Amino acid sequence: MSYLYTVLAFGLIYAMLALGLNLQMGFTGIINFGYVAFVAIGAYTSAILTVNYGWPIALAWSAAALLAALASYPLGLLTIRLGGDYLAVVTLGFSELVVLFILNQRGLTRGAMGIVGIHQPFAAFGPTLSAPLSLLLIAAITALTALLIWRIGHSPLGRLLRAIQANESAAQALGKNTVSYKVLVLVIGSGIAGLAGALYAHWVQYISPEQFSPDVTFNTFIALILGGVGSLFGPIVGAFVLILFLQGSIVLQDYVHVLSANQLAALRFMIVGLVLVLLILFRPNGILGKTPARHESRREVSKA
Amino acid sequence: MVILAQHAADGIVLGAILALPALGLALIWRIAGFPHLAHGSLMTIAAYAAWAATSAHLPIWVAVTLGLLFAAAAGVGMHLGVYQRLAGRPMLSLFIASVGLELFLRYGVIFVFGSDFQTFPLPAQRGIRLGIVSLRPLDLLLLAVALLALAGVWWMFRRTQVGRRMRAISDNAALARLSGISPQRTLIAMWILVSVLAGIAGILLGMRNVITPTLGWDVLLLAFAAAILGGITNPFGAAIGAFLMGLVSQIGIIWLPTSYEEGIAFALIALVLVVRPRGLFGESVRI
Repeated sequence: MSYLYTVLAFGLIYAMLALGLNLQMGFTGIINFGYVAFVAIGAYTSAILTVNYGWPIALAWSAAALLAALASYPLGLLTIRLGGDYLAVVTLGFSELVVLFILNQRGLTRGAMGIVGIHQPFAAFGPTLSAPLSLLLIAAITALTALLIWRIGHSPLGRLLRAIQANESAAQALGKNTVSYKVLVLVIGSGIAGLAGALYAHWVQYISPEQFSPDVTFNTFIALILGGVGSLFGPIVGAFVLILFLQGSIVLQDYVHVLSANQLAALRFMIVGLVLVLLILFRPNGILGKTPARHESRREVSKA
Repeated sequence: MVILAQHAADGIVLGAILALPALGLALIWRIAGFPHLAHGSLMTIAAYAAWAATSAHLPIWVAVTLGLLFAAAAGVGMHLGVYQRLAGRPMLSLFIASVGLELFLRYGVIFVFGSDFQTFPLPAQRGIRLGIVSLRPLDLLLLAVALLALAGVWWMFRRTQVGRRMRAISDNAALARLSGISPQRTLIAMWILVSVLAGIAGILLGMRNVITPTLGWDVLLLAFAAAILGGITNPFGAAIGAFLMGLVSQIGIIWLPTSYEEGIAFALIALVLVVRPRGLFGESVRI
């Protein structure tokens, strides 16, 4: 039972991550390969505030989202004008820098030891109730995030963002300050990542720097691409498909004895990598993806 | 002063090794149009293939040749199997495909060799003193090999037809095609070249330290930083960028914790991109 809860919780948290990344990449065309940095900032903020300073969880989670959002602001100002290829490399470097910082600021983060003793939100209700109630809370927050993204997608802002993605110069010619909108989207998406990081920290109750490797960013991209970049709810489906595969193959470990546990784990990520390549080659719009609608995006430009 | 000189010497050795993947990254970025994230895997594959050959008691030159052959096969395979089919698609598709290949190859190496580190069977060496710095003979050999490889590329670009074709495509792909240069064959030649360079760097790094499944990945960001620092439009700028990056990161760790090497490199790229977005030796065009 508790295993099922974990699969669901991870699916929901990855769904949130994919929703936030979709806002950046799918709606606006910002290529952020440092996404895990904001997850890490959120997770550590909430963990440190609750464990070291005894903050209530609601306040610590808000602080986590806020701090992750704030951290993305200077990065956005510095890099958002760069071409996508530079942005990909620079944001990837940024996420490695954040992990280095966490590793080295031992006084604050306990370095490689990690932070233990992070409580689940409903720990006071005892061990049997804590997990299902926490899971419900995570589900509610993910649903609110999806609602927020859906609202943004159907607002004038959402149309403008798609216009920026379709043709940035055209949006500029209409008098829109595209750079400040892109920074705004980076900030919102990073806030979502920070909140998801806080949810994750309180679910697993132990965080350490190696949990925040670029693989988290890559997994989020895979979830997003599986579900269809730019679609509203596809990322949620993609996240669950990915997590079911990753967690399901852990169960398989108990039954397959030809390969060692280590080899099976490696095989799992080989398959993930291969699926990513195959998706890009043959199904760039995701497993349930729509075909790219060029004409529609042109119309969006004139509307925005 | 002695400490500074010692770190500078280490920086030059590191820079020479980094120059090889940095040059390759710049070439791919310029000619195929995307930052190649799976470049680290080419280094790792070469190191493991060479190590496997030495543990089968093959002579070292056979092992190195085998390592480079494996790297070249992997590089050309990626190009023919994936990147070539994505030509004309947005840069992001190619980049994400390279993320997938990186995952596939990195975990493939773990699948075959496990995640423990390995070492080349090399004799332990004492440092020899050169003035005020002390370097292992191995480091001097690595430096010589890396510099020789760079000189070889320089000669190839200036003096051979395939090198001149690569430069032509890199300067202006459309014009090159009009002049009858076959992009297919030149691209394959380029992938062989960059994979062999990456393979040399991987084997050298493996000899200098240890061989791990993330051997290439661990220095990939430094190599990217070097390529951006030198300006991706200019392969030799990338090589000079690598020397600068090696020097700055090794000198920087006199004052900062050792693990900040990468951090220093990143701070440096951020600075360069803000001040001179095309790199130190790139064309000064706005991105």
